[in-house]
Amino acid sequence: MKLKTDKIKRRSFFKYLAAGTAVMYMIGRNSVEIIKSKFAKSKSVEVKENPLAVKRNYQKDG
Amino acid sequence: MDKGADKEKNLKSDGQTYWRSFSELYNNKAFRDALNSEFSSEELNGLRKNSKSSLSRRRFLALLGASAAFAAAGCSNYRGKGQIVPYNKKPEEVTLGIPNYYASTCTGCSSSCGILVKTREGRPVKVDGNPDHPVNKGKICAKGQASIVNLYNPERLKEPMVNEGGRFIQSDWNNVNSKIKEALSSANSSGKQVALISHSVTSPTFKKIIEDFQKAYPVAKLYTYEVFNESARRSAWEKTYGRKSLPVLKLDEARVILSLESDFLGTDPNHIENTRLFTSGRDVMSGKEFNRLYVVEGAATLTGFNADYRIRLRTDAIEEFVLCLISELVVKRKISPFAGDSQVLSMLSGYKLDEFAAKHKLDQKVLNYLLEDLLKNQGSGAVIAGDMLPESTHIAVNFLNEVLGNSKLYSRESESTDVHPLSTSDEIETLISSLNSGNVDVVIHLDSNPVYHFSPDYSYRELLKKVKVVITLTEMINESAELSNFIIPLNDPLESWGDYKTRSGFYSLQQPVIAPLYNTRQKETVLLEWTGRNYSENLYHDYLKENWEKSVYPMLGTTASFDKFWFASLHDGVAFIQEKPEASGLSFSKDAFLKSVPMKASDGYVLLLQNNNTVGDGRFASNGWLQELPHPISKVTWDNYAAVSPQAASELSVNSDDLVEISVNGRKQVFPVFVQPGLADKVIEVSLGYGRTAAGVVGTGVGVDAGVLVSAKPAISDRLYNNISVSKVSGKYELASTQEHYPIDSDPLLKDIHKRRGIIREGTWLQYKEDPKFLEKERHKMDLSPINKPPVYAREDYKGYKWGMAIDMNKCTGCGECIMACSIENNIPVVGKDQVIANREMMWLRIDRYYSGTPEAPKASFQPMLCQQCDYAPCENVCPVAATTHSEDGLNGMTYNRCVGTRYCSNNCPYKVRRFNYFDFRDHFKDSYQYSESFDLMANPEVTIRARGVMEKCTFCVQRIMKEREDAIRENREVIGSNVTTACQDACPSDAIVFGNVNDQDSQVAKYREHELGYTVLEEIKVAPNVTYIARLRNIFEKE
Repeated sequence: MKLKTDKIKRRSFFKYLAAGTAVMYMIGRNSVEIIKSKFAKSKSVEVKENPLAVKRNYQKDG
Repeated sequence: MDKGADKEKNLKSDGQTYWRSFSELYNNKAFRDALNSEFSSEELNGLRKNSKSSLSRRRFLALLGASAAFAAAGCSNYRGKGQIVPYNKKPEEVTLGIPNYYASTCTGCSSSCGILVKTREGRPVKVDGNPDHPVNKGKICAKGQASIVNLYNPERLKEPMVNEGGRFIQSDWNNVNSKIKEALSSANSSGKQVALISHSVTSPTFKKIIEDFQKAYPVAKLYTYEVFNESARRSAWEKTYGRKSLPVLKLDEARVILSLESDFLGTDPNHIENTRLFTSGRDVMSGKEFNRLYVVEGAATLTGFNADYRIRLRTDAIEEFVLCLISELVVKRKISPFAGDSQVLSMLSGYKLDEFAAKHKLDQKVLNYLLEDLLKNQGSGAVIAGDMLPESTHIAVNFLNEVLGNSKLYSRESESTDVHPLSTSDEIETLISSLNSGNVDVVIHLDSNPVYHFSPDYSYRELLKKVKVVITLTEMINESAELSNFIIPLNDPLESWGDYKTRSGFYSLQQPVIAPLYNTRQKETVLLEWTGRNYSENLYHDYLKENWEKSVYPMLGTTASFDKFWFASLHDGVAFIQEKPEASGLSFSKDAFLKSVPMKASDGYVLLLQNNNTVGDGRFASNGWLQELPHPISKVTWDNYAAVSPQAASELSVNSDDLVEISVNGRKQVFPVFVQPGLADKVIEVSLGYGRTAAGVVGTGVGVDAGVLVSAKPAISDRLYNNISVSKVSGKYELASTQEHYPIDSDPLLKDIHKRRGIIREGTWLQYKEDPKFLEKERHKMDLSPINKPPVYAREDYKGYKWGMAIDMNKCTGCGECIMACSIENNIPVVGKDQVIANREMMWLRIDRYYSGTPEAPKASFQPMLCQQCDYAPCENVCPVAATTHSEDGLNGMTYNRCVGTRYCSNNCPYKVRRFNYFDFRDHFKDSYQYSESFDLMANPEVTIRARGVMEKCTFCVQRIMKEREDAIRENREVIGSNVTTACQDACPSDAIVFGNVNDQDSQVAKYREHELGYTVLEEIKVAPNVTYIARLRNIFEKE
């Protein structure tokens, strides 16, 4: 006997699947952090060496 | 299909038919519909009236799956960490993965030790001692090690601040500088004083800047102070010998040392050099007889507990003791020309050693040993007095040294110089009265904090309200900055240029190892701007270089160009010059001795305000690593306390964690009690530097401010008070002490259990001299109870190199510098006081301190305990996921990402050296303090940062071993064991820790392993540890 499926419900299923996937992707990517970082100021701490400092050739050299 | 016909057919053909219901029998519509809807959605999802649950199984599973997916997504710790990209334009000096080293100078205290800073990708990650520096020779104290944390402290000031209506607003340099220059000019023109208040000035170039400042503003006056200073010693020296510079003692040549309330191995300035020199006379490998240390003290100090003979004596009686000693030597035994001096004899009449000993219940036998030793070693003994003792005691000690001929131990090569003497108490009084009378218009705190440090007698906090403009130059907000009009943010010392002169014969240089992280400047640069110079990034560098070209370079008398000299000095961190000390021409004057008024002992309680090796005078209070470093004797972290002797505790009816109120000259303060074995009776010891009210998230409110008891005009000295009153008050305060954490053997019924189980093995020098193998023979006295079972797995013969360590307990003083070095090297988190109370401190290395003998006069034994890297490690075969395994070079390894946190390994470890991350400790402090961006920069990239739920322990600095392996592979050679040094080994000032390849018979560690004094802890359980301890020998006259 051929199974009659509800065509309307099959369409809803795919909609739900797509929507759910999108929501999980967004949460998984921590969207709030992404949006915050886009509006955040640039990195407050920048690391630079002082060009006038003289480094050692090796830790224990004389 | 005609069901009805079929049924009738069924009925007619065989007379029987099968039907289940009337519906089937009569084949009605309901029956036919049901046949067609076997898998009806209603059946599956719809509400079934008779069902217990309104939820179908399918829906339940669907919801369960969705919830799990949402929960997993929500619980993920994904934080946008950005992208890691290699350099687009790589700086010339930086090679990824290869560290750079820079020589510089530590400014943690006035000793100005040389440091070597290791940087990775342009940022400092470790501070060690500079091996070329003649004072500390490659070692640095815990404060120096931990100074790296101050650079990355997220609470550092980033911009200049202006106080507007009680609120601090960020401003810019031009605005702030113009207002300040205006205030300075106004003060200048009105003739009102500009007071510059600073800590001790040890930089010749900074001194010159002050002079330039005073030329620009003639009303400017410099006041300098230090909470812990050598003023009494220096003034006594000047009165006795007519010289300002102090001699450097050749402690390595001393055969006998008598220390009088001097913690020269622990907290006194220059303790790194002192430890090295002292322990060089206690080397089992040299075969030479040990030196002998006598300590007479009221406190319970590290030096005291390292003594061969320790005499407990209340501190205010020490001067009388010295005079009795002098009387014994000069009057009774007539060993000195002063025996014929009537003035000296008259001064000493009334001082009799045997009467003194009887009065203070001192052990006459020990005093006789002391006298004999001092007499036998005239010219090779040293008598040292502590900084807190008054000038009169130091004068008496100078006289004693002179009588014994000990001036031969004063170095002829180098002496301790003073670039700018500290202000006297009279000068500070003058400042206070000027402030009081409104004659000071501008006060500038040059990286100092007098609101916290000054005695409350001065009411300095109130006096500041009378000043028009208060300016504080500081790295972080502090008590003085809170009351200022302008706050000037300073560079960290690792971002600064500088030069220092603390000894004759050389200068130390300081160079920035990183450009300023924030919009900050050096205090020297700021002062130069205020004198009228235009700002440039290298303003102070150019000034410093110019000053060196004019004043330092000519002293060399060299033909090399100045630039060569300059680069060489920066490379080495130190510049040697031709300069002989004045000390070579000493002439002693007895007048000071005759005129001094001796300190008088009282019968009441004595209060000692002590230095400490963690927060110092309070300037390191915001450093969590230092706060969590256990006190070497009490093992208390995160607090100070009033240490009382067991006898005083019984008199006051107090126990540890009770509260007492101490009253000094009408000022009171309440402290938690800690019962300290070994303290002299009626002596109470409290550390200064705690109880700060503006020291950031970490330091604010930690401990109690003992500075409120400091007197501006003390009767004896500003750190020593007698005739105080002490009383118990209600309440409790829990102190976080680690001394009972991780006990190896906690059977309380057996006294001296640590000796009987072979945890601590000791002897005497006499025993060793008579029979070098005495330790082996002593083993039968111990409760070894050998376990007669074979090991779980066959012992491996380690071919190639095998790593091992040896710790010489004769050299280990228990100072704890190794713990700090390990913590910084291995990214060990700070857990906070509450977690320390819960036994969860994370330091991989601990120093166990065992007492033996009576609580009143115990001996102490110190033993560094770390992962023993056992060959038959009991932790390895209980891990269910093989997260801890054994390597082929003898290491017990930890694989953090396999660990699931069963803690079975820690349970099985007999040495209790494993540490579990119960929490993500980095998230423990307020406002995610340890997750701040700047702290990420501090982490050593060579060591994994462990997550929550993971076990960790000492790895023998496997990252350094791996580096040597990589170098060996690249250079196509064998791994050389001596090329690898662990962080703890690098930091130990006495070189007590030795590490290397035990299979190399020429290596030092192999020699220690085979030494007759070598033993392993808990050898009877047959886990075959790879850390060998060398038994401690006390150099006493009796055999134990």
